[in-house]
Amino acid sequence: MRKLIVSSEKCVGCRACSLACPEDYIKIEEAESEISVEFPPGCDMQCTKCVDICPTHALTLTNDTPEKKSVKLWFEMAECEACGRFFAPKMMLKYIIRRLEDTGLADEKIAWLMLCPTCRHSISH
Amino acid sequence: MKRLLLIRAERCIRCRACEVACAREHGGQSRITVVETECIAWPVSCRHCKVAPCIHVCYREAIRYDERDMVIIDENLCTGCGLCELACPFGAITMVEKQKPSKCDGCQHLVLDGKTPICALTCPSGAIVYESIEAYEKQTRISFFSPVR
Repeated sequence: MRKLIVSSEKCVGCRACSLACPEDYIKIEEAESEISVEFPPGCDMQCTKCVDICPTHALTLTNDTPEKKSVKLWFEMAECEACGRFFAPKMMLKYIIRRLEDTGLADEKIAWLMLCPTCRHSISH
Repeated sequence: MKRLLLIRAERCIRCRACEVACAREHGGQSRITVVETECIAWPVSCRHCKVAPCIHVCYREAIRYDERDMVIIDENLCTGCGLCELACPFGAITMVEKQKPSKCDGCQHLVLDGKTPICALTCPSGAIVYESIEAYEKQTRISFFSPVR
């Protein structure tokens, strides 16, 4: 049994780890304006898929004894400025802005990020 | 000369034949959407940006330019995180079942065989054309006065 350490500062709530986990140990819960990711305290599998796949390197697996309690992180969802739908965790949008910084796109033209992908189709927004 | 998928919105007749053809060509999931307003409609799909936000956010380098400068996704490297979907300024990437991103690849499999992308081939009114920019520029003036196809 290995210990799974989650950095709550780094995790953006993208759920890539949950999709990658072969045993579905990482659980996602969706509420209206929030999303939660529940990480198990440890893992008995010999894989490192979640660690490898994490975009922000928020996960680490160590050989220590895991604690008993699982870690649950809550993420506030961003609201689409046009239709009002909650479409993505705010942390994820912040991460995208950080990634786009060196492209020159991130300065003033980044307003599209606050629209949900469906509303981005339209020219009226 | 490099050919591109170009959209002539004034010609779109809202028939959605491109959506149907695209879905048939790509396993049931259309990668092009006809967006309608009261006065005009036009097909929206990936614009294969020169500075592509999706390429910049993808931390696995699963999205790249192919030899035709079209933006393509390598499904084997993709983790399904959804960052590209959120980064796309045009909403051209959609996550389909099992969180796999689906976007226009310029019909890579057809073009490599010397064929035309299926949406351009299907469009009955010539709203989607597969041409080089140079050829497009020359044709535009004449085509305004000539009947469509």
